[in-house]
Amino acid sequence: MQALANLGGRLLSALVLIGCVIVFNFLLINIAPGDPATVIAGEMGGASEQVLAEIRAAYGLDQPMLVRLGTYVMRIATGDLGYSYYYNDPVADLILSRLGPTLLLLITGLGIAIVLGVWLGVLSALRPDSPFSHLVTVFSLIGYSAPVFWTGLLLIILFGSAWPIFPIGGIRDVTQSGGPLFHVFDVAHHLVLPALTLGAVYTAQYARLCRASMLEVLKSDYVRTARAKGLRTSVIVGKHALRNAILPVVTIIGLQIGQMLSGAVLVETVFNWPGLGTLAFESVLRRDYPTLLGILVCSTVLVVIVNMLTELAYRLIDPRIRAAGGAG
Amino acid sequence: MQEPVLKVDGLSVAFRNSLAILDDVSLEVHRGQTLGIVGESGCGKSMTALAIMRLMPSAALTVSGGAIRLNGENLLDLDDEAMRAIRGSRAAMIFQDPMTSLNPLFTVGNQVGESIQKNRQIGRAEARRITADLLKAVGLPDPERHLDYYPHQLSGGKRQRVMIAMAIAGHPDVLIADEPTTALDVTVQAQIFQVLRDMQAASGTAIVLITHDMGAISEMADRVAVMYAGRVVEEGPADAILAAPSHPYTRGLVSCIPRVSDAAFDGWPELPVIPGTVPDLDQRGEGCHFAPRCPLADDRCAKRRPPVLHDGERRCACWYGMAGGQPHGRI
Ligand SMILES: Nc1ncnc2c1ncn2[C@@H]1O[C@H](COP(=O)(O)OP(=O)(O)OP(=O)(O)O)[C@@H](O)[C@H]1O
Ligand SMILES: [Mg+2]
Repeated sequence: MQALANLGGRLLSALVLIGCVIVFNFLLINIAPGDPATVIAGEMGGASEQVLAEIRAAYGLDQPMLVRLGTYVMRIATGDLGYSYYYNDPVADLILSRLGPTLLLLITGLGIAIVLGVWLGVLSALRPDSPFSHLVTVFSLIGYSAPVFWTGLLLIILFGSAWPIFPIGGIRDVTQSGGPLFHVFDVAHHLVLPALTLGAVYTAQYARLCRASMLEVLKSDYVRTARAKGLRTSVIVGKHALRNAILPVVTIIGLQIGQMLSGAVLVETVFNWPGLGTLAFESVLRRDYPTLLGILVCSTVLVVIVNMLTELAYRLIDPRIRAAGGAG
Repeated sequence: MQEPVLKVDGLSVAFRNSLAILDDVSLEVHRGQTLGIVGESGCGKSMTALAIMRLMPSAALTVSGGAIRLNGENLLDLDDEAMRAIRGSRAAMIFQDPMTSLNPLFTVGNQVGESIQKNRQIGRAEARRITADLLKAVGLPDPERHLDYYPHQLSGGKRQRVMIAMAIAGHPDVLIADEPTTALDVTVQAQIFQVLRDMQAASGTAIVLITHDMGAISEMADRVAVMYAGRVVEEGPADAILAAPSHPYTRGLVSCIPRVSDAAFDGWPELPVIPGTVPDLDQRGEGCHFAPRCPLADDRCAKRRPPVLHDGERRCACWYGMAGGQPHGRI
């Protein structure tokens, strides 16, 4: 019962948050300079004052801002994100068609970062004075401070040009065709460099964080207890220490997921990955407000969902966070 | 006399191969008996315990000499895997702070069960049943329910009981308890001591009880070793030493027990506290480490290491001999 009330409260605050973001984004984009009507007119070839007025009327751009905001919020509430100025397609459809590649990129990048980062962090914490540990420290410093596009370009030069074993753009090879298995392999092949690029920064961060928390945990009293019990090193590290040491990593995943989404925009642009990031980038250039707003709403929802998931994971790992029951 | 279960022989531990943290420490404890180790903070009590378990907190700390014999076998000769097998089965240890010594993320049943399954090839259900029995043995009411509790749901006293259950799961020959009640209040301390005594009566386990509380020594210990700045300064039967301490440091400690007021202390200056502090590692010379704080000290004490004098079952390291050349307890 308690847990249900908790969940209800969370959902409510998530909805309020999403609403605020919608309003804020709408205002932000509306006070930005540039008139979308001129852009649309430019696409159509003419730009007389009359044409502009017609376009404004057709898209509701002639209405007062508050009215436009009200209409927009009402529509979003019913799942209608409007029409793209540029594609003339429903924004919702556009986003749905681009969501898959972005999620694939995000999940793979995050997966690489978690597995590799935690692994490097743990190994280097076990031998903090070894050359390997120093290497990890240097690597995380570089990975941490290198901008995403720099890492991307570096990987392109290394594995796309110097030693061309991975494709450097797009999501599949349109010149070839094959069965579903070929398709899966093809996408995976294209995914390697973008996912590594996105994952590198976070691998570095998680390795740093995990190394630090692992070093801390290895000094803790309960690890000493585990050693005094005569448990195997693999159990001491893998069970008693690791589970405590990854708690901060779980927290930071939730905190950084928004940042990671914006990282994905850059990565998608560098690798011409047909996801939400490239769509967002193009929409900015085209002043395609409805699409841009739709993407922002969508990414807000994504961030909220991931935050809830990480919190859930945290609760599963740490019983102290779960509703306190029982007696002492 | 029967062989001691645990015999520490001239154990020395060095920090960075130069500073002596433990200096020629010798101790022994017999089956079914309790050895108390007392001394001020920083004198090396925990280090002695950790050295016996070979659980040095840092690689900078190394054993530089001596032997640790458990039933005659020198633990210092064992490889890591053999030592691991001994921990939790033949030698076990519990710690000062029960609030932090249990892993917060696993249930009591899981953590105690782990200790049982380390020693016996049994399934989880069986381990659960034995765990419940152990929890009952250490006096936890409603043991079945406590199996599924997490440490944060238990009080300090209950957590220490869980620690004890975990430690005795492997039926150890020796149990080292490093200040097991320091973090607990007095009534809980009495309960924990009772649990330890009951456990000892039932299993014959030898106990090494580390404390800085002379009251705990008189309540629990058969023998007592008094440590000062990494050395054992006095050792012998607890009641004899408490009644008539020999070493000036021991006399200081005993006179700190509030209730003591008997003829043994006539002429000994009023010492509610021993003035001064334990010298730092790099401030310890060749001579008696207690000399700077000792009312009897002279030049010889400061310069040369005091001899270890034996008198029946007792020994004492002091230039003034057993009780400064006087009958025990007198100057
Ligand atoms: N990890 C460590 N590295 C270096 N020196 C240490 C370390 N741990 C303890 N020491 C030193 O070892 C000496 C003995 O410490 P120990 O913890 O054994 O004292 P203690 O008698 O248990 O004191 P307390 O009553 O406070 O528990 C102290 O001088 C301390 O500074
Ligand atoms: Mg200690």
